[in-house]
Amino acid sequence: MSYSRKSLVFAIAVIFVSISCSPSYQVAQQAAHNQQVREVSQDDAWQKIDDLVKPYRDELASEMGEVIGEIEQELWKGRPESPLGNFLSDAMLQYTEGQSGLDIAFACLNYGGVRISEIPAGPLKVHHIYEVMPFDNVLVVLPLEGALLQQLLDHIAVAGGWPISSGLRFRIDQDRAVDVRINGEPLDSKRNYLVAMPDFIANGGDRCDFLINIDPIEMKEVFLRDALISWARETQSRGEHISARMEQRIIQSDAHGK
Amino acid sequence: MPMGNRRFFLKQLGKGLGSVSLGLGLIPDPILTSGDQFKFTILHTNDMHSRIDPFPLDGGRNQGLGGVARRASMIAKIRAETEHVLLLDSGDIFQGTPFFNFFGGELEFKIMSEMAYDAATIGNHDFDGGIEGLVRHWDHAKFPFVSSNYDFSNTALANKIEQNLVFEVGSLRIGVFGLGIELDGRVPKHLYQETRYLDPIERANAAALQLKKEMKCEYVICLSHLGYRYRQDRIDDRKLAASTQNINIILGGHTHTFLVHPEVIPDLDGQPVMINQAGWAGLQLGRIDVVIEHSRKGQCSTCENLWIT
Repeated sequence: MSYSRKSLVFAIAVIFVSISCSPSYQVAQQAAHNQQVREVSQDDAWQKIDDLVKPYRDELASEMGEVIGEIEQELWKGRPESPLGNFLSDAMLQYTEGQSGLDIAFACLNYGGVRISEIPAGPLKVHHIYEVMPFDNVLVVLPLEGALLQQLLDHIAVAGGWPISSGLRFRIDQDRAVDVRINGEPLDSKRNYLVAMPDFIANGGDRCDFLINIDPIEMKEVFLRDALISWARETQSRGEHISARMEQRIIQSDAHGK
Repeated sequence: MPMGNRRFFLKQLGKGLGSVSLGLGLIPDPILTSGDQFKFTILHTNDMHSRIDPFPLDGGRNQGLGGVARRASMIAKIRAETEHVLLLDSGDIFQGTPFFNFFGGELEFKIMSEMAYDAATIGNHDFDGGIEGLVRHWDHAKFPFVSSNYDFSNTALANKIEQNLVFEVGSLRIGVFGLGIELDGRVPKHLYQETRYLDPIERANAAALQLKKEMKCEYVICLSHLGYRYRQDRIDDRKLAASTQNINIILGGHTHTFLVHPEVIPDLDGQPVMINQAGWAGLQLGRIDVVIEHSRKGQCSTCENLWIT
């Protein structure tokens, strides 16, 4: 999805020669120009909309502008792995373990659930978290048998990689997750693993139908977004900055993969 | 097929700006004579995702760009310079900033009404507040919604959404219909409830045929929230264009695609269908300038291949 920052004015005019005989109306020309929306003079039309927005904006401003952390370097989104994905999944894991006292194998979320492409370096504000995670998704923990866990990891492999927390490593080979390591250990098909995720996935979203019948562990219901905000506040209160880097959690070994 | 109660929305643009009549009477033949040309402009957006203000000045790649007030100003200028303008949206109006989390879409609808949008279709994220969320803020939307492949008849939106629309623009009739993406697996069921997703190709062909033949539209617009292009066999705007008839242009969404050039694909009859999409977040305003020519001979005298940059 690339586009130039320059004002975009593209046009194409196309001929439409109608072969059919009866309607003699033809599209003679059709020109498209996608125009960049950028600074304009604040005319009447601008003012009318701004007046409409202002009371809503003011109501949100204090809450959304609160600084809840400091980001050391830009967190960007990508596959198979990215700093933004690593930050989000690690925060989910730490929050869930802190709240529940459970030993969670890892946390994951679907790639499409990350809704902005980057959070810039500098102060992290509440609005960033709302933008990256706008949905009212609840954080859940699913107990997964080894075989089902492998199915989830293969699903993540087919998708080209999802954000996963640091305890999990694997390689994508021909749409399969191979060389899986969970906290350093190979996947044990007889073991039960606890996995933290948004309820969207647990309820079968993003083609995860195979998870629908698994009952989540009982815990206090919290929106994923609120969990991230509260994790950031705690991190800030310890005087720590937020940093996330690439660490080869998922390796794409199939050159022809997605 | 559930046609519900067939209502058509007729709008007089230009001189009788804003006058709206509902119901379908006898439509007189257009008064264009041989060789006449008729020009109109389509402005369109998609996936605005509750982006009300420009992106903040925080070093992000879109910083300082977008913003609804600026878009309103651009639209007002184009309307002042251009006689016939249609303003359309291809869905995902909702979700993406706290404006939606806190106010549920009320502000988005008010803004689009103030900008005088002529029609919009429904994107998957427009279900994020549930059917109730749409219904709650419905009255703030002073423009019609159009969807031809969602069947809302067993939901609280029954009879609120048009199957297709006809706009009278000067002496032309322009037909508009809408297509939405499959909801299963994409939107939690408790949000979309009993909304039924119907086959987009089948519904598109039915809607476009009805608009072109029965409603005698000279030009047919598809507002699509299917997505621009997928490698898999999932339906997208390109496959839609190639599998249908009677559509002149597809104004797309969902994939947040910033098209460098609009694409032109031959339809089932070999007729060209233009596809355009304007990114997301209100970063761009799509604009299509169309010239329709009337000719008794069935040939177009000014038609020529031409790129303008």
